[in-house]
Amino acid sequence: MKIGLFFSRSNGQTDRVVNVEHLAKHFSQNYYTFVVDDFFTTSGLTAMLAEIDKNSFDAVVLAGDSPLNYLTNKSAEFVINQIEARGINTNKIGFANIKEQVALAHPSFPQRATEKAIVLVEVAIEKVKTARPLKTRDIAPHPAVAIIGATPGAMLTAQRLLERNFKVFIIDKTGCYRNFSNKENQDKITSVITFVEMHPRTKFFFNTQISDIYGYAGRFTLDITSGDQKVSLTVGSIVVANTTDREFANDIRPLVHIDVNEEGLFKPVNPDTLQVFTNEKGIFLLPDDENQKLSNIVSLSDSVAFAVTSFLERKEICYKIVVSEINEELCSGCGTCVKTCLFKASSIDSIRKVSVIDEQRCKGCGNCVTSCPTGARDLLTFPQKYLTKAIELLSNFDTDSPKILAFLCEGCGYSALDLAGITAVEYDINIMPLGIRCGGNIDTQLILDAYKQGFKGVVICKCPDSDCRNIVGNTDLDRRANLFRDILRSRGIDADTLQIIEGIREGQNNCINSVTALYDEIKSNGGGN
Amino acid sequence: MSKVTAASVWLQGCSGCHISLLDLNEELLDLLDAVDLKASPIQDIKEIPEVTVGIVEGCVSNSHNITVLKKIREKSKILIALGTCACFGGISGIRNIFERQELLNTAYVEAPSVIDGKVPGSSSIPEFLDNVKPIHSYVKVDYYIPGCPPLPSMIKDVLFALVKGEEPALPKKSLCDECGREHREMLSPKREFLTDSVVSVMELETIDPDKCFLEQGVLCMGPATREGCHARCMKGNMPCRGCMGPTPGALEQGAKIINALGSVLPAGGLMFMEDMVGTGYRYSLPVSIVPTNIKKGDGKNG
Repeated sequence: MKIGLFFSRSNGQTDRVVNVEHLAKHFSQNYYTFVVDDFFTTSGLTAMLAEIDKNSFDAVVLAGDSPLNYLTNKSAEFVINQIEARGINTNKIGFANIKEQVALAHPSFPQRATEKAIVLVEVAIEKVKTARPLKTRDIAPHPAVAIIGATPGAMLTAQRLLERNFKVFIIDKTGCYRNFSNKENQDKITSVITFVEMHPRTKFFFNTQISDIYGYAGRFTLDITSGDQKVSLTVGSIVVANTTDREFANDIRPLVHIDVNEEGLFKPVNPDTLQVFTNEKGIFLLPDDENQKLSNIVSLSDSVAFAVTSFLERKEICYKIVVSEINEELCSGCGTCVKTCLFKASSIDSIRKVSVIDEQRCKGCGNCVTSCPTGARDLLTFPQKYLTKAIELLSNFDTDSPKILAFLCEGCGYSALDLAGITAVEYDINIMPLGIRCGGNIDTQLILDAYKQGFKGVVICKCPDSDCRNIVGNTDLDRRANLFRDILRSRGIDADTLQIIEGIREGQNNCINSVTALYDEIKSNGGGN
Repeated sequence: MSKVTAASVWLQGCSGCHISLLDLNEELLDLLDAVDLKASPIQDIKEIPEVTVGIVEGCVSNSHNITVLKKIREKSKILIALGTCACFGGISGIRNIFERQELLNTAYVEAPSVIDGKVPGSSSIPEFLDNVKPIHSYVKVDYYIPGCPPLPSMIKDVLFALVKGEEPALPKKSLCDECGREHREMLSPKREFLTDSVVSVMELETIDPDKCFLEQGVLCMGPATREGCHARCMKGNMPCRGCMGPTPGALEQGAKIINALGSVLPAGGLMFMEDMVGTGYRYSLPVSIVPTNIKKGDGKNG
């Protein structure tokens, strides 16, 4: 496999601490290595893409900024899109977080920070080597939009979408659409409501419960019950406008898979720059807050209508099928995966007696991978083989000092450790980070592996219970937690050296606080176990 | 067809695997037509000549076991690990969680039937090793026949395959594949636990002979255990205890059953809490990820 390693100085932020030139030289024997100033500048990106064009790599590793940047920042997402456009599969693009989790976190120890960066790059290389390519499906977007929640903003959005020739379904659990309580504002949008009401391509569904949503971005199916009538709608995109109703959010979270905040309300990818975007492609948010100025509400409606339009007006949408895969040779059809899956994506084929996955429902959370008692399931993006190997690689860093392994969930844990770096909280260099999908993806075998490889403590940093991205990842983790501890005790390992913590809660970075406290305790005990 | 020569030994074991070989009954005659058994505990011949197939029962627990094991490896072209002890360490492996001295004291000094006991010690007694290990920790093993004891038919199938020059293959799936009990609840996509409480099989008023044990609230190791035993225990209306060891897709049995039961049974763990090692690792502790008590100072984390 031809792998290209790109190192970013992150405009001085990384190479102020990490010796990026040395890092590149270290890997240059076995890999193609390139150093650029910043992946996100035109000159950096152009140089990088030119090398990719020239060398036709099978995989690339971007060592520099945190991988979370690429999800929460459009310019960073653009970098990935450009690399993918050159024929490199999503799962063959790896990230080594040597900025937020090395350079910014360990400014006082440049020498050792460079050594740590080497280990993190090795882990990233291992991931692109092991991760299976994601399959994609080209979807011709369906020119219809479902707006869930008949808020004033929803009416404004509907008007804009109708003008772009989309069909609009407005769905609300109550009996009518909601007016502004402020009469002046209401008067201002009266003509909009009339337009939407009278338009032949509008359809209202009041007193409606949503019983199911599945499908692909660009072609979702919504099963709804309106009054006593059951209807199945096909839409290309979904806008969730009812964002202030906690109970409602809780009900449809498993269907729309949007993250929630501490209050249990839907939250966007980035509250500053990407207010209407969610992590689910094709599903958008329209924040509902009547107390805002009307102009704000209008501009949000414009934003979401623009986002939907630019999404659906593409000729084809390349949908990435992020699912777990099944090794049918090993699957015995026991049904554990069926019980575990909240999204109803697993079932047992009654003739072949093996598990099958509904790719229109699977969110790739990895709960079934953990629970599968025969190891017949695996995540394409985080294969068990990769995680096991990553633990071994991380354990090789500076073998003299006691080390802690921090499993960081994609939803909260990873960003909490990033935040420690960004806010200049210096923590011990022997705290080794490993990104995972979800708390529910923590296999007992991984914990045992960590101790076997010599880690003196293990921290699992996951979302607070109420806002786990995969809703039940934490529930399953909790169900197993006491067993984890008992299994450690059975081997003479101090069970208190395993900690399960929430990332960020009420502004407190629990992740870094707990990891640091555990590390200090282990050190004062003379290295724990 | 000239006969294939074979020899067998037993190390730390209970002789059950050799008894299982004898349990082939009249089929043993067919086997002996094809195989010339040169030495074995059955014949009480201890001197091992050069043979094609060497068969080892039992795990390695003392220094004498190592000597015998290395001898038979040297003399055989093909070495077969016969039974769970040879494959995974087996029941004796549970002693890995205790200190060597603790075990010797329990057996020779503190046992209720002993008066003024002392731990025997002499240079003529083989050294009692710190940890039980499966035979592949010491020598190369070509084929494995797990089971406590292995089915007579499995032993026959492997030996006949070798006689015919074929590659013997073990099944890869878990016991649920061949168990045959009904498991409707397990197949319904509901997040609720299967039962309200966990019970031991003796606590059930009636044991439903056709229904999945997990659905009756009884902990069963079947989902994490390799098939091939023809689900003998389930046919006898008892849950699986895991003697066939882990499936090839899992690194270890105990951790995997914990992962699974956490999603299926309430406090999936209560049963484990009482005896973690005896439940999840009854037969496979020596091949688990952390195969011993790390306080003993064995392994990297010492």
